[in-house]
Amino acid sequence: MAEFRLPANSIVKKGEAYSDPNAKYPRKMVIYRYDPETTDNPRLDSYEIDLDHCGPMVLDAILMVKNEMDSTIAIRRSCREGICGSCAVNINGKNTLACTQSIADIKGDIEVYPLPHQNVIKDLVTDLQNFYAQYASIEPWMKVDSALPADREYSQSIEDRSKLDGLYECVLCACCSTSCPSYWWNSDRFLGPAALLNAYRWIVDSRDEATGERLDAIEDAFKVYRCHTIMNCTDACPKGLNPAKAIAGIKALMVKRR
Amino acid sequence: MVIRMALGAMQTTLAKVKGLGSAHNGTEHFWWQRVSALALIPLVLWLCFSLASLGSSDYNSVKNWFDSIFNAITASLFVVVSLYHGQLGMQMVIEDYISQTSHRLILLIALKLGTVFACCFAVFAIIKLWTI
Ligand code: SF4
Ligand code: SF4
Ligand code: FES
Repeated sequence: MAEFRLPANSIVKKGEAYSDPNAKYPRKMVIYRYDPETTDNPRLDSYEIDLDHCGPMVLDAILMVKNEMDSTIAIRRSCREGICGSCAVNINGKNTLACTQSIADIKGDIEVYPLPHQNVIKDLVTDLQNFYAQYASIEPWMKVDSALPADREYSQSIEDRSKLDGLYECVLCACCSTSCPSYWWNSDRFLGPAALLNAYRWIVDSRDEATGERLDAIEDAFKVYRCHTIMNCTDACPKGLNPAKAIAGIKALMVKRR
Repeated sequence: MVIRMALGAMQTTLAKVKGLGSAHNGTEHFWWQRVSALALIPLVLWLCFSLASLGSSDYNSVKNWFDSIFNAITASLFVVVSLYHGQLGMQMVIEDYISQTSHRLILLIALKLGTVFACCFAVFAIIKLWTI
């Protein structure tokens, strides 16, 4: 059964409030805090930051809080420019990369939560093991049986190469999968939009010789067909990709080979 | 299933995700859900048109209306196709929300058998109207 009643320790309480009396341009930021190693409930701490000496993105604000107000916050980040995919969080109700979400585009308080429906390791860091294993399960590498051509390159026409546009750019941030209701209910079996978009990236690659095997491996009422084209994934993707369309492409190929 | 769960704690995440592999199903469901939806467009139009034209007719005129073999067959088709389409949709809802395997199985079997029963029941009722 889907769980409609939440466990008692999931109730989010009000936490500490940190303010900065000298702030020139104060802005309130609310951050979800939770440490599953303690018995405490999750809480929302609020921080008054000074936009006067803060970078433009939400990640800048989080790092400023961590550096100057409260060093106990846990956040994952690396590239701070939308390439590594590690800083994905839920900002004001929307999954996105904290490093590419501009503070100026947010109305009211800045509210930062971890990605929805994943186990929290601490604060804004969620456990994405299942998500990564799903990516590994689609075998994201080129499979070729033919002998290597004499010039050691598998050629691809410009037209075939363009089929990978909108697919290869995925940074595996998990914004899409963790915004998908079907993924919330069945992520133990449904591969989710990110893994499926990447599966499609190899399925439509003209150089790959395992197209049929790839379709075989995911043709399953749960692995693929839990997607009901709700489109939350496409709405969430911070790289502007369209996983829902990729999944529709997979389904179309499965119908085509019936 | 039971063996897999007993070993569950020792498995890697990748082994869990791969699970029992692909069941090679789902495409027929996807395809027929769309085909039946298309078939329902003319059938529903016909139903609306018929209900409007029958209006507040009495029992005998409705019975006479069912005497037409076209009406009887189309009414049967409507019942069968809409029940078929409906149970495909219900199957999705059950698979989405009922995660306990035993509950899911019982509900799916009840759904399939219930639909066959409802189809037979409705078609028999139409045949009966047609023959008396
Ligand atoms: S389109 Fe599919 S994968 Fe994307 S959010 Fe909807 S159900 Fe999930
Ligand atoms: S498709 Fe977009 S949202 Fe999903 S993992 Fe890739 S980059 Fe992130
Ligand atoms: S820090 Fe790398 S994507 Fe945000």
